[in-house]
Amino acid sequence: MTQSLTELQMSRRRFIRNSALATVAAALSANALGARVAQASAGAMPLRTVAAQVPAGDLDILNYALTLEHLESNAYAVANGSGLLSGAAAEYFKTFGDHEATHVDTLVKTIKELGGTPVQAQASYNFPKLTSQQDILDYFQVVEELGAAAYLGQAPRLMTPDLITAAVSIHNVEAQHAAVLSDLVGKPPAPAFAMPKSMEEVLAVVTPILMPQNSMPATMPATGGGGMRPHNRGMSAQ
Amino acid sequence: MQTNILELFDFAQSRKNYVQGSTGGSVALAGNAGLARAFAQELSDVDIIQFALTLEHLEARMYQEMLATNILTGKDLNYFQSFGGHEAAHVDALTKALSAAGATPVAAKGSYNFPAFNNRGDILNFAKVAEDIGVGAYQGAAALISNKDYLAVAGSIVQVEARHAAIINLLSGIAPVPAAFTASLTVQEVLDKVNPILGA
Repeated sequence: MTQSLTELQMSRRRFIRNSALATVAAALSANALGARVAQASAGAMPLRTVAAQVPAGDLDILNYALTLEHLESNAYAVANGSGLLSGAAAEYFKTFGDHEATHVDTLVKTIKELGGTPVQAQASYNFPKLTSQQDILDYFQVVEELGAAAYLGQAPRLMTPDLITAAVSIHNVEAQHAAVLSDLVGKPPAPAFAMPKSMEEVLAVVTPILMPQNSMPATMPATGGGGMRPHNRGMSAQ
Repeated sequence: MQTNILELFDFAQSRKNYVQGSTGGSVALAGNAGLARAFAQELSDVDIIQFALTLEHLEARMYQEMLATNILTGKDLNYFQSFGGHEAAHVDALTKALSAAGATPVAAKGSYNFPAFNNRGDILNFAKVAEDIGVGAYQGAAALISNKDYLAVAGSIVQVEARHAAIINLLSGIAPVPAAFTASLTVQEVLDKVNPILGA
């Protein structure tokens, strides 16, 4: 738990000048604080006992997972609206997108119940320009592999049994998405042993996707609130 | 050895209802927290790994027997050869982990009560059953594991079982990823499913 927080703080320092990441960091900070407040007030507020039992590190990991799920959910929304997918791929993408949206909802609900503040989706994401079904399949295969590896990296660091079970369950589904996408792009769908990725390794990949584009006004809020739809800056039907 | 392990799981399971009654899951992502705590008091990490190894032996032998039918061809054959190799690697890894922990790894059974593998459908159907049990068993046991290194290994393996399950669904022509969450199985649920195959 301590190690998790330390790593997170290192990541936060490293990326703090990036306004998008700063928003994530702020939310993570708020969560850690929320858990501590809950802990301090547990005696006076019995309803917060559950939150008090969840270490701040666990909430940080949930918000990290939520950051990735927001990204995935938005990516699927864009891909599914691109008009580029057909056949089995179109069918799978609709289902997988629904799964990611469900993961977002579940993580948001859980973080709130545990006394934390769920990180919000970015107003937009820097997805690459994908102009064919093959482009989309290749990109999502990488994204889903990253998601599975990210969960695998964090599951053993969770301290709360319920959260370990939940993380393993979501992790399995991300891996199943990755396996199906691997099959579609002609890669082996499963290794003998899956490999984890650390938070830093994952953030190094996703930070450019979370960063606002240079063309965005410098004063634009990094997150405009959860309700905004992603801008279709990347994947497009053109 | 194996019988003793299974009896131990039975014993732990007998406490399930009592403990669950007093500690309900209370978060949105509720798994089996009460059950997890109950088992954590009764089962060592070695017990859990022995149980996992019991399942891996079953899966490894299953793939061997399926491949030995020479029924599978093309993509089916490629994937089943690959998956069988994964299960054999899992057997090796868990066997070494148990030996390193000073335990005697559970051995494979001489034979398993698999259904007849007379055609592609028989094979795909049973492979799905076995892989789904594997996923549910590892997921259900994950929170019971005390040693975080063991948990990391279990996570690495369960991810592979989950991938196998999805691809077998794909080969079977059904939704490859049927839900947003994979389901956990309790130890008793796993035993109920595998005991007939083990002949226990």
